[in-house]
Amino acid sequence: MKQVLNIAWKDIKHMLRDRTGLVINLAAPLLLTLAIAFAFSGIGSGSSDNGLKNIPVLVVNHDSGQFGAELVQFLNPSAADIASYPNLQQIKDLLTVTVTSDEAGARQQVNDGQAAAVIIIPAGFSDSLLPTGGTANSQTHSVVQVFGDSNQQLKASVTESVVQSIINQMVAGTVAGQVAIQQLISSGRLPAANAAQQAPSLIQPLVQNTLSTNLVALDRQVEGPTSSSGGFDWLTYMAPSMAVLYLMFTMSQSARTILQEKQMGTLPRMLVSPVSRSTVLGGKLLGAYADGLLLMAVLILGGKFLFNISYGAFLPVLLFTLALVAAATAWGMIEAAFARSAAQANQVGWIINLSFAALAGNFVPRTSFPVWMQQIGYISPNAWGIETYGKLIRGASVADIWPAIAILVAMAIVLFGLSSIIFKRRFA
Amino acid sequence: MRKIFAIAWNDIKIEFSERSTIIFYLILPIVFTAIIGIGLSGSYGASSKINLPVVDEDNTTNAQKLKDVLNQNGVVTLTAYDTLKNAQKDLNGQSYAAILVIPQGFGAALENGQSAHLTLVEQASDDVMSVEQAVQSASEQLGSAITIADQSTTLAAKMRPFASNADDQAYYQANLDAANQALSNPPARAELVQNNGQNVAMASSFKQSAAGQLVTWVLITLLSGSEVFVNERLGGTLKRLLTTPSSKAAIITGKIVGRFLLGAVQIALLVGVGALLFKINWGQDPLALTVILTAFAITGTALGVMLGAFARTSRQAGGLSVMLSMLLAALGGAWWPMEITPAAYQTAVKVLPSTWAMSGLTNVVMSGQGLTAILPQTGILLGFAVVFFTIGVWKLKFE
Repeated sequence: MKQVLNIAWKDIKHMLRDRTGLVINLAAPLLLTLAIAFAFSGIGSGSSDNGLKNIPVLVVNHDSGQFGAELVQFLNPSAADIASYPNLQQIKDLLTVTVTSDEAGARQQVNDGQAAAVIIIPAGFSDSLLPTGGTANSQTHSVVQVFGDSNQQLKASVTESVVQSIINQMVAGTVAGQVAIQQLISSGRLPAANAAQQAPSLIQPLVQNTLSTNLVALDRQVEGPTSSSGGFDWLTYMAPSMAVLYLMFTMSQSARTILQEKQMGTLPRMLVSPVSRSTVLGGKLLGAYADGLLLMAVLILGGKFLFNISYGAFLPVLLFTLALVAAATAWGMIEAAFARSAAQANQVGWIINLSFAALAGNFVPRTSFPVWMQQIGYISPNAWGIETYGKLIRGASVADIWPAIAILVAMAIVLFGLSSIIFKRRFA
Repeated sequence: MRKIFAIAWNDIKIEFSERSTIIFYLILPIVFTAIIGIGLSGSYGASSKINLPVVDEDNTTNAQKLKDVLNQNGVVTLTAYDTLKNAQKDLNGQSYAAILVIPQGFGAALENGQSAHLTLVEQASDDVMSVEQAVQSASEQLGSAITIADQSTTLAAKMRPFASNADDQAYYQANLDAANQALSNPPARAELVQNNGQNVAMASSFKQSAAGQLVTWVLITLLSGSEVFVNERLGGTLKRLLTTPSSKAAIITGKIVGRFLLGAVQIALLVGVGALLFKINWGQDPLALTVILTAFAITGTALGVMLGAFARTSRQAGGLSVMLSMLLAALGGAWWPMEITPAAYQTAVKVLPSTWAMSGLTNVVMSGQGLTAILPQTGILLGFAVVFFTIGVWKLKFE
């Protein structure tokens, strides 16, 4: 045992002496997580919501009627408008609207990327909603064009959605008045001759109520880590994802040292000394394992103190991390066992780690994949790491995650066993 | 020139002498693209509508009306389930943006003029926004029709009370039917038209991801070349090359050309497989695509050379290449659309070559633009390449 520890300590010292390499391997996932936090506008705050706000748009109104003016008004609501219709606050937060009469100039601003879209209200918009005859002509349809920047497709799409939503409300308001008057006339409650005179006062409160009433509320329930506003929390997903990804790459590198030592001649020298092959292999394993534990400790603590991500209670996190690092080390060992040289081990490592990363959801959330692909992903420690750290962040206990721990330990035992058989045969 | 290509070809042959190289350079990119492609394309049904599983726990007229409106809007295709648990079990994490749950009591609440709730059980997916909008729009239409019928009936009762409850109900139903009919054929709508002449409802997440994965993969491949330089230096083979009748410049250029050609083959594979297997439309201008990808490949190669010059050990080179390829890809917009990031972020990342590569690719692939649209990005990428090559060659040590 003492010899195993000596060999492991030798490797750990060697690793610690390469300070630049150590810093790179520890800094990389933290920097990547920092990038994600920055991209989703939440450095240090733990918030990582989608940052679509204050979208710059222009409005050109060719309509001479009431509804064109109202559409412009609702796109750029005042405090009084918001007090009357609270839903308009969302529009105020989403869009930064500039009204202009120069359509050509507005289109050019979109082409130049200065605005995400220009909203063009056509002539006859009001008439399509409520012709001067008083009854909507169902054959007259009006299209409000949203001319969007193809380089800002998401923002242009959001703008279109907002415009459509407002138009839907306006249509609902006009329909409310028309239906009410038609039915009053049909039932004899309102003489047709008096309709034009009495209609405005009759339907005004009805229209107001229709516009300000939202009978159906949509509640969102996100599967996976959620942010303070209820949306998917990319930071809380990506932080452990990147940690696990780098753990796998680091374990590949650590395991490769056995082949590098073989090439440089230090391994044969070790083997002629009075230590068994098992002892040498055991020492190498332990050294790599320690490397992985150090990496995960730094990343978990870094996640906590830099990004306010709590990985959960100490005991379950510790037990799971011990199992995860064991499985990752075992995969590194098996890669090195099958390779003939350090260069080949490097490539095998890339192949396996990138395939695992893609299958397990390191780049794209696993829940996006078909079930068969998710099942295949479980061959990798990556999948278990992403899922289980996610559970731990949401408060899972040891009882909730022991199957994952057991599977990773079993994975480690099988792969360690296989790699040691192969190494012993190769170095016999 | 002959010596340069001889050295390049020699490096490629050495690289491919290992069978694993064939997997790494030729098969893995295809597998990687396939995995990401399958993962992201699953939300769409055959008709390109978004699959929306629906759990109707209410089974009332109003719940059915909501589903009818959703079916008519052309954005989603509904699949029915009886309970949420069964839906989640059956789907078992399959690709869906959200499950719509119409809870028991939904219809009754609406009939009583009270607020009703719908639940969207969402997953992390680019289609969630479209689904939310479709459901929001349908629920607004349903709610508006009911509000109109309710308000109109109340107004009528004030003007002349109904003779009986039956009259009241009949009047309400007549208003509801009229409102639903009018709202289902609105006289005005919004329509998005892009400035490149294309008419699209929402950015294609798969196209964005395909371009992003291309950038990520090219970076991984070309930056990992730095480890080869380090290993050759530590192994002494670089020094031995100096004893041959080839100048240092020819040796370095040969090795650079070799790495570039490996990257170019991979790019061609990814583009070809993407087009053939996943029907990715890589834009309208093949020349523009070739130019921007070539410029990016040159930049990636140059960065790999520079990393190989600075890294002292294989571990450093490996760590640097993994770190930089991921960081550059993520920060440069390969993993998420740049437009959702803050303005300060978009300005800050302009110092990265990957940002310009993604900008050029986005212009070609997403916006269908041509050669003139990517000339600035190409120039900047080549500028990066000159800087990286200069530093890399200057610092590169042969022993």
